[in-house]
Amino acid sequence: MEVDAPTGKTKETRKMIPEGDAYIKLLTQLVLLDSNRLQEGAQFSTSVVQEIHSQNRRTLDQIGAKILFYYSRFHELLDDLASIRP
Amino acid sequence: MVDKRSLRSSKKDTQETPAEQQQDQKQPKPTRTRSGRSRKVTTNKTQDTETTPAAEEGQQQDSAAAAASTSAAPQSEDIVMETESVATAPEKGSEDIEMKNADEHQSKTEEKKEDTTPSPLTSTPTFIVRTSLTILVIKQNLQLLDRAVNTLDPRFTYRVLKMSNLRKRLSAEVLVQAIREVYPADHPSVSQLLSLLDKVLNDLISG
Repeated sequence: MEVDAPTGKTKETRKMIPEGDAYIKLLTQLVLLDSNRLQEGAQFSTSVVQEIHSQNRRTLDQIGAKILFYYSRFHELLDDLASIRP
Repeated sequence: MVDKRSLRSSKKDTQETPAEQQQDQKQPKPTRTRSGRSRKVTTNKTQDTETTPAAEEGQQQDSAAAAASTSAAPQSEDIVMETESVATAPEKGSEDIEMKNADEHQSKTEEKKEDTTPSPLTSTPTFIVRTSLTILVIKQNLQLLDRAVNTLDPRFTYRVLKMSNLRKRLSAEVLVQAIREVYPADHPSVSQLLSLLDKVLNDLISG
């Protein structure tokens, strides 16, 4: 009985698709924004945006759009929107 | 027209029976459609004005229990009609709603209070329930994303991104727990996310 529970938990081989990964990162962005950690949020967002660009998946576009929005929001609040201008 | 009327009358018969059975059992079944209803209302009125609310509630519960044994839907209709006709019934309803609101407020304030001190926060049952529910929502959203990828259908993604009420319920604790449950252990982004969220958590503890 006691053996069953841990094996059952490890047995469901959890796979994380890039979209799910991006979604969790979007939620992390939200937490960082709501707790007002702008510097970390901006850094984190930059890395996430680069990651999404490197993956080049069309199913990632919708989530990527929202991540990009918060990326720009962090930089807007930090008052350096100019630095992320293409 | 004729069909409707016949339907309605039969419905009324079924409505009357449960509540009527315990209030007055003398009346024969076919004749109680109109007179029985008005009579019932008047008796309710007198009881409402005279008895205490607790007794009234008990009485109502009794009738509800009696009605539940026969059918659920007509019972609810019956209650609505009573609140329309009886003067004191709406008051009771509003009272109920107020009590619920107060409870919610209490739990909310509790959570706000405990946000600054996370150690007892995890022990409160309301918080645990809310946390697990939020994690459940996140997991559901991940499944939806999975389906969106498999079917190449962006509708599911849009549904996930609607983020209905999730942002309000989201917190660093919830997200840490969700990340631990959702990611495979050797995923490269786990350590990055957890270290980031740990900073937020430490902030909450210190400040």
